Amino acid sequence: MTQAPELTGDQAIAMMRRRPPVGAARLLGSEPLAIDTERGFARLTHQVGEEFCTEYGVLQGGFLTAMLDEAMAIAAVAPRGFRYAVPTLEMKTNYLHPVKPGRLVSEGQVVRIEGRVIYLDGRLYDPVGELAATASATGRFFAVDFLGPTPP
Amino acid sequence: MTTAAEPRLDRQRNRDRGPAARLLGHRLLAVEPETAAVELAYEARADFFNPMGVMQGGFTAAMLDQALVDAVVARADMRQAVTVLETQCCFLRAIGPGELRCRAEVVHLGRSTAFAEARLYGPDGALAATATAVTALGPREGAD
Repeated sequence: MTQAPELTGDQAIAMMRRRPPVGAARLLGSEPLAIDTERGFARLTHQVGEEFCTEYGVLQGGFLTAMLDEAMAIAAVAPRGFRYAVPTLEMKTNYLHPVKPGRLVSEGQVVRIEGRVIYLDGRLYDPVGELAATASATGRFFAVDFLGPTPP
Repeated sequence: MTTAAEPRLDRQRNRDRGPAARLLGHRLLAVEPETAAVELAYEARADFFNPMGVMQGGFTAAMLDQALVDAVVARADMRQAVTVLETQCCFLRAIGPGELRCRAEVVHLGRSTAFAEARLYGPDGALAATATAVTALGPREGAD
């Protein structure tokens, strides 16, 4: 990270837990497990069922990309106190093997920040803990308080 | 007019894609007779959105992913199982609520690999996201 984090990891998790997840995060059953704002790292859990599966009973790959996208986004914005959004400009996912529904763990890691552009990578672990997908992404910081004002 | 492509559209339209496609509001509109390019519609719903109030990139990716698989399955005419090895998505514009259109086609069909590309258009009709995929083709279990 090119600047000192504004929050500790525990503060970032507490901030996320004060606001119930909305939209995509709620649908994917996402919860923060660990955040390291010094390293620009986030680990989330997801709980997903058969509604995200293909006709073969495995998770449709796009939803694995959705989990990785979330972990990378939180890794990017938590060190800056959630005062920025990082819309993804580009993202690549490698699918290593088919994944059954259940509890999955995603990880996002900041690789580099150059001005407003941020480079990230991600890893996704299946319900038995095996590496199931990897990702890399390019994003751009936008100053916006996307979690809303901090409650008193 | 009766052409060989009509049964193909029916086969693709009636194909079971599983719950994920239903969740995305997937509808197959057309399969081009010559290229097997597919035209699809999706529904961008608020529960696919991020806290910014626009589609979370991963859900955009899920729609593109489904379209890429559809294009490969249509081109292979369901003779082979399709496994996605990798996708790359570019997010051009934020996507708000409404009906989305998508077009996907195979750019190269090998014996064991297929390459495809897809374009997703926002509710206003503007190009909003693009994707490419590398897929593996294998024997299809339980093929009828």
